[in-house]
Amino acid sequence: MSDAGATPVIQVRALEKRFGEHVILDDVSLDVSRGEVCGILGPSGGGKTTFLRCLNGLENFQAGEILVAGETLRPGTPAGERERQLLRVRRRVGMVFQQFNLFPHRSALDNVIEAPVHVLGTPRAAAIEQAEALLARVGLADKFDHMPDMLSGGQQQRVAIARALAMQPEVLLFDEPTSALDPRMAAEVEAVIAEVAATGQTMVVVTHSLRLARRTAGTLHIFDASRIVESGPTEQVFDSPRTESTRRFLDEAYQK
Amino acid sequence: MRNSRWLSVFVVCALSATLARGDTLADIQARGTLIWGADAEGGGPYVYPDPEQPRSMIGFEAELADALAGELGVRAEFFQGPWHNLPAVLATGQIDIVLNGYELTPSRAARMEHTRPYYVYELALLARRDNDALTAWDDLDQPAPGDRKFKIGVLQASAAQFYLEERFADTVEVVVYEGTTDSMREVETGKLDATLTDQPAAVFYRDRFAALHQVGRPVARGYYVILMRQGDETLRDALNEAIDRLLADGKLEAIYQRYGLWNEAQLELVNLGATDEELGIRAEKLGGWAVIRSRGGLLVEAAGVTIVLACLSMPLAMLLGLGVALARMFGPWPLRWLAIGYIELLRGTPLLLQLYTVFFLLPEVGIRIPAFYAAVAGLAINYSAYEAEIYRAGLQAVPRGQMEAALALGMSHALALRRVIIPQAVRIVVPPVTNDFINMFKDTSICSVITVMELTKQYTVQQNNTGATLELAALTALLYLAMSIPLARLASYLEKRLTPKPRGPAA
Repeated sequence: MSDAGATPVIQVRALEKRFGEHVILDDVSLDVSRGEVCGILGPSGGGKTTFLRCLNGLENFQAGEILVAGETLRPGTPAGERERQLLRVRRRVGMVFQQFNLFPHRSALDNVIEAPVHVLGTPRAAAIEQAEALLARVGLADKFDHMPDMLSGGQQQRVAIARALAMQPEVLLFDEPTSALDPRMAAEVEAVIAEVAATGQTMVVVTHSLRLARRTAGTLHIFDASRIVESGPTEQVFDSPRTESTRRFLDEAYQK
Repeated sequence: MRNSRWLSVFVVCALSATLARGDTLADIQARGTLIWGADAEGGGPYVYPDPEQPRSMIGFEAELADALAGELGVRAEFFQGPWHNLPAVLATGQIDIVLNGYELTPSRAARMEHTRPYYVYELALLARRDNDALTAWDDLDQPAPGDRKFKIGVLQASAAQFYLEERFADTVEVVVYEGTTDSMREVETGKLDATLTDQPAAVFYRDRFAALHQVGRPVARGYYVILMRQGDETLRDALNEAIDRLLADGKLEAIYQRYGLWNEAQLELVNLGATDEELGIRAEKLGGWAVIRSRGGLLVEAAGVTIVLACLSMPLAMLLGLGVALARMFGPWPLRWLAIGYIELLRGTPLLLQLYTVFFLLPEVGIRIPAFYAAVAGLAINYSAYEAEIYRAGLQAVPRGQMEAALALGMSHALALRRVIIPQAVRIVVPPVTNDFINMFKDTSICSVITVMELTKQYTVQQNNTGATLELAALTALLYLAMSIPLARLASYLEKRLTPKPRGPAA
């Protein structure tokens, strides 16, 4: 789209998150435009995952505001109103978890149709048709009826991606999607994420994998010690990092 | 067969142990006390706690025990036991005699030694003064108004029970109680049409239950005797002589006068003999297959009551428990605290007490439910607390990521619970819940205290009635096993079914 980069789907302003005295996020601001794939990198404990979970309200925060999917999240919203607001946000913002979190009592296909049928009210037949197409797209056309515990980790994560896509989200959040997988399965999942990114899906990808970030992200934000220490186009951050802490993080990451 | 030989060896050993026991009279004299068994629960005027000093017992039988012990040159010592189990307590050797309004019946005469009668009782029918449908014995020959049976309460295993069951089987539903006053109270509240009780109790409680009056003349004259273990002939003879002396010197009359129990029926006492023939009783012993044949049907019927009781109570308990668990975990704080209070109250107090509350106290505030439904309600409420805690554990055992994944897909908390969390928790709670179900089958036996005639109750009635402990206990145990084993199988089947089966091509 020609206006890619112009319409912000997510705007985060001066976000602050604490657990008691412990500061997790300190004055974090960033924008994600429509069609953008935003990579978030940084050392462990830097606040990446917590930041991602703030975006769909799985975590609350103490100060600042988040504009996401047309809603403005801010601290101090009354509980009932906040609940309704989050329901609206989460219908339009999908999430893929590090540990997949498939529903173990339902087959791959049932995992995928669950939310369209019960949240959006999509007729079952239409939901199944869509789910079969999505599972085929992530390479699992022969696994519709498999229960999650019969699938490998990589296959489970691909079902999870199909499950998130089934809601046709405006934004898709990835929380370290390949960290729990061995290299071969990680590569499978990475390929699927790259394919989804190529369709113009807006995404925020928190990862430890430099390869995944380089392959999918248009812009990168480096989180370190509760703050964003560097932001920029992916090529530039990788090839000519401007801050000492980015350089140190990249050096250590390459050595692994 | 090998097994039956071992059984007979066991029976012979048990019998010879009984027979080989030493001379009880000599034991009494050596230790200086006559230990007499009785039940002080609702026991006026027989034996009951002294209102002035609740630790010591008074009553006409307490005074009689003192007088008899005096005649034997020893001191009387009271032993508390449940009334219908006193013969069993006697058999264990913990007491020397049973002296507690025990009527002479053929089966008792066959199983135990007895003295000459010490009191001539009659049965008094008590109904509410304002009950126009029941003003004479003749009224019991037709069904009660509304074409139903009259409900009449009796003391379990008493002569009154046998009398009604024999004479009015078609028009009277006999409801058994473990204490005399329980059934009087139930007549007063209107749950029962009447109670049939021994004359002494009717006289004693006349003032406390002023709304009741005696219907017609007392009936079914019979004798109270003192019971001893078989073979205690010397003790029997000594007690017979003692009773003769107390009769002759007027001491017995004086005791009965103090309790308003001396009446014209007692004039018969002097002329009565001590043997079965003289008393017109034919000792009749039931045992072996004969007892299984004649009482087995009753036990199987009672097992049916147990099954219905458990099968109605458990689903209710599970439903109620789910509500309580959800209130405790997800409700607003007042509801949460209410749920915690509910659980702690029910887990922290005995089931027995809860059943009593439902059954005896609710009618006092105008809520009147039949015994069976009171039992269902009591069991369901009690178990719901345990089920709630099992559910809570089950819900908490579902990984947090499941709720997060459901929420992230736009589900509300309620929808996530219904579609994602509860189906997974069910699998976790199936084993403990079925275990509770099996427990409930056994806990139904407690419902006997509120007059529900379930399996254990029927067993105690028939055991008391026939004395055939071994045969009836074995049959009762078999019936319980026949209920619990299929249940355990069902549980493991459910567990297997609810665990997700691998589907698709075997990898």
